Amino acid sequence: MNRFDRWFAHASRHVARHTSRRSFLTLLGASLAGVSGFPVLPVARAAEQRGSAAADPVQDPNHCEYWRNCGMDGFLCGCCGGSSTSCPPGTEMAKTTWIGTCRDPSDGRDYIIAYNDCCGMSTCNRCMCGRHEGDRPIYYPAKSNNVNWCASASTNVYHCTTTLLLGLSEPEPP
Amino acid sequence: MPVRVGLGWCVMLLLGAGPVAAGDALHQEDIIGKVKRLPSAPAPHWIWVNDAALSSMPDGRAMLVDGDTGTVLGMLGTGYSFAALTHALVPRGEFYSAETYYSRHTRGARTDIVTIRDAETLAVRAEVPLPPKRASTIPRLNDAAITDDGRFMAVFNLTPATSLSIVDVEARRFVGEIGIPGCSLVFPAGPRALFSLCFNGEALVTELRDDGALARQYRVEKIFDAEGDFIADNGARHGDAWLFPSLDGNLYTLDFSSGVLKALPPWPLLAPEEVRAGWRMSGFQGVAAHDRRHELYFLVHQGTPDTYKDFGTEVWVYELAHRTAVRRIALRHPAVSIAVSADDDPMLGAVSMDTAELHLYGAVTGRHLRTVAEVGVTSTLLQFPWRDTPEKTSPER
Repeated sequence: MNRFDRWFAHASRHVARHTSRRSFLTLLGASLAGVSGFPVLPVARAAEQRGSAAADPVQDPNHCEYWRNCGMDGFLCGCCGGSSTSCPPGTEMAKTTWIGTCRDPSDGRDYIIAYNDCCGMSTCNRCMCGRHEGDRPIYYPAKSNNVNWCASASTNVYHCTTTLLLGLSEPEPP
Repeated sequence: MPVRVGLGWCVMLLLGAGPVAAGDALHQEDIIGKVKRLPSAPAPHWIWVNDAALSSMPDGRAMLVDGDTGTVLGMLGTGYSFAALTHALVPRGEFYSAETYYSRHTRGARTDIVTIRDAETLAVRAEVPLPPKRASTIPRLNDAAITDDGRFMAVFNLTPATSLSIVDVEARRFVGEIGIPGCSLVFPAGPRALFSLCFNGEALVTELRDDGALARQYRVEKIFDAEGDFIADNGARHGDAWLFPSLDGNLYTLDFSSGVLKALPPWPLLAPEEVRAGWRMSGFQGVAAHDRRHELYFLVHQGTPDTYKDFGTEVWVYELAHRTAVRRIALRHPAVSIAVSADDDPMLGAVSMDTAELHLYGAVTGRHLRTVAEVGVTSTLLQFPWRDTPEKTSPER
């Protein structure tokens, strides 16, 4: 890890400490926040109308309204041959990720979600999902959904994005 | 039958063309292999449309359009995750582009380069290899920049550590890498100076020596509140200053006319009732300036704070000396980026990423002039290629 990486890791932890739970683009340890936001609104909004026909889109991983997608900005891997928790065949999951804290309305609890990108194939281009709450410009990469984080994979060619559940979020301080 | 006519028959048959009598004034023999060149002096309303091809990102491209006629003059292939071309203000008959390629299209060995192209033939004059670190973003004009004297190009890297790759475009040589910890993007601020914007509301200035190596860096602190009224990551160059709109509709000025970067007090672009109505900055390149008219063009739409990058529906024009709004231009189609030509009869360009259309307006009249269709797949940025040399006037205070 060179001095820039060390600095960025420090900055990331700083951001994580100072980012509210409702601001979902917090960071995961020394890994880095960011996004694979390709493309963005309003293309995203148009695509949000697609998705599967599940009765409750909030519980449908292939729907942009799925509760784990609160920090999503990219193509849903479940529409690309993978699933919400696995990459499509032949792709590679990025090692760095940005995380969100999303509330599952079925139990009312907050969970830490990691948005690991899948890389190595050209853009999936299906089920675009962009939810921009708390997004910041590119000069704030930890919170920017306009940065491609396949940079940590063996190629930085972005394909789609997963939503991995890492555990319960810590309770809010009293 | 003369030999020459016989050869003509053969060529036409090979091409599948029908027989044509030699000497027919309406049907001259064509010459195979002709390739057009561009005029050596570009017209002021030529405009580059940068296509990131977000649905097939290895296929980035740029298209040159004559804004006065709507004619496409040429096109470039610019590789994976293309952002924008970089034009030297000192004319050298060439322009530059930071590009990324993989040996197997989406896999294999990665090669990052600065490609140097001839401005008349659009052919590649030279390539300068870079460390394979170039940032991949939704395109911004300032993913790369060139110093005001046209000598050194800086390419923004994100691995995710952030740095600049410095290239001596005159010597066709990679000079070195300079860290810009906590900061991103790159904006020219003089013949040997560049600055980057930082996540904590600062700007980091990088000054180069005459050989392109780092001379010094310094930070300008507390320019804006990154958790509050944050500025856009795209600005408008006006003389020796950069102008950035903010989330709440203020204009922040970073002035380097003294040789040192300074933040001037922000001032409101929006009246209180306009703020209440939700008017807001827009797009990926939502501001442009016309130096001689001292005008700022501001792409706006109505929406919540989280929509600050949404398509803009109108362009509001301000006279900078008196800080007054002078006119509004309702766009025919919402746009993600705008640009204004530098001449005395300025043209306003607006690109619609969703329809791949370039819309052209009279910047002063506001009149829609023409729409150019099929300008790429997801075209995100516009550039009038040869702007005037920046005036040596300091901005309004």
